[in-house]
Amino acid sequence: MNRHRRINIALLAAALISAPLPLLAKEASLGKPSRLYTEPFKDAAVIATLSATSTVKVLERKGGWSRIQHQQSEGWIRTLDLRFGKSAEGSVVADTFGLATGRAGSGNVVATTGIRGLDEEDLKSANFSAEQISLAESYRIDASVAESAAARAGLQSTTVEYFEDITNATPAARRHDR
Amino acid sequence: MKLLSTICLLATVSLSLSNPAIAFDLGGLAGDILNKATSSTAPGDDSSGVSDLSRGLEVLSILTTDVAEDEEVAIGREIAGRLLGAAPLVADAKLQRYVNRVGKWVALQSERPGLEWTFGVIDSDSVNAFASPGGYIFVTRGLYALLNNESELAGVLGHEIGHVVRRHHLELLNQSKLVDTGSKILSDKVRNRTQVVDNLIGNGAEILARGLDKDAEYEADLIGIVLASRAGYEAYGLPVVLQEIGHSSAASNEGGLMYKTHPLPADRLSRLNEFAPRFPESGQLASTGLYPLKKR
Repeated sequence: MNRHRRINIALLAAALISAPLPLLAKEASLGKPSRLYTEPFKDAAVIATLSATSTVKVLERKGGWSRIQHQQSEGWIRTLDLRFGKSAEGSVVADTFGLATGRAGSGNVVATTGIRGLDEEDLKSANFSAEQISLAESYRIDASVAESAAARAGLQSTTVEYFEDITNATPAARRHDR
Repeated sequence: MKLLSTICLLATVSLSLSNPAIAFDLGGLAGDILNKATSSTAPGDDSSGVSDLSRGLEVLSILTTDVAEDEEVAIGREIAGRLLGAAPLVADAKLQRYVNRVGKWVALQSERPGLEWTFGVIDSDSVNAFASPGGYIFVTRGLYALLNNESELAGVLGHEIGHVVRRHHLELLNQSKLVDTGSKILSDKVRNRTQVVDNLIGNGAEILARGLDKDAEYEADLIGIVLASRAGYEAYGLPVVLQEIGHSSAASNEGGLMYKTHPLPADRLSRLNEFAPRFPESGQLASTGLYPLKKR
């Protein structure tokens, strides 16, 4: 009995980790006024335009589109219009992302029992591991293997240009322009 | 002091330019630079003082951006080995091979398909990912656990591949010291190797805790989206991870270093939002499952 339960929990955990998660309804706000569509396409009918201060429940995500519930309406909005995170008062606020606690103080991770962190000090005191780097290199994949694996998964490479106006607009990129 | 050594370097290179016999005796790197400098000189240029100077400046600019690949990989391997000294690979060969399959496929879409790309998941609950020069890329178990599908993994790896392709970390280092240290490591004659490497990159893997400038991060985000899209994944993998990181309490507790070294997820998302109308909508595998993490 006990053993069964443990297996069930393990299975559940594995399923939770591996499955494409149907998102548990998460609350989000909108950073700006956003259109609510009947379908996840920009040509779909618009149900309403939600105000920037609206709070919505996210039900599902499909790439650039998320199915949300707002009061009595349900529909699709652009994924990137969603903002997560709560302010101290408990109201959802744009651009905080719940980071108030994460960034407090020195920025060091507070040691929690059983948690293996990796902070600045760990990196500073790190010693080269010849064994680990060789192990990592032993897992390398040949280009041909990666290509056939991608083909089996139905992945086809397509032509997509860089957004050059930004990638060249940054100092880091400009230095490489010759 | 730094200026002085730069001038000396410039003088040396200029001298070698005007004397091909000397240039022949230089190592592979200098020869390489020399070839690039001379081949990029337009035919018909006269050899006036002005053109010598501009050629010299051009050589200098090449020196500051193009370290030979061998040296780059040698330094990158040192940094990566130190990172792994702090957080070893998750002991699951299938997971590691899986991440290499996805990562290599995405990297093949970049300008540097020929690098021997190495990917891995490291055993830390922190939410973070690291790129080291030469194509060494690692994500933490903590970040991997937040991912929902392969498109998101492809986006994260694409961001890190972007750092390698644009050589962002190399730019943090003293360039002439970089060449010197790289060749010392490669020659295998160096006795106090740790000290020599420390001299270039600092203690341990602290270079990975230093952080790049914000523009480099925004640039890597856009490159990540483009590379993942080229590989056939949906464009929104990386943006969704950023939303997830911003939302997750695990990330805000365990992403301490990442927040120190990167702009806030919200800022990165608003940057991406400006380009969202141009994201390809055609990507596949929006919800392909990831190879699952085993319980520790």
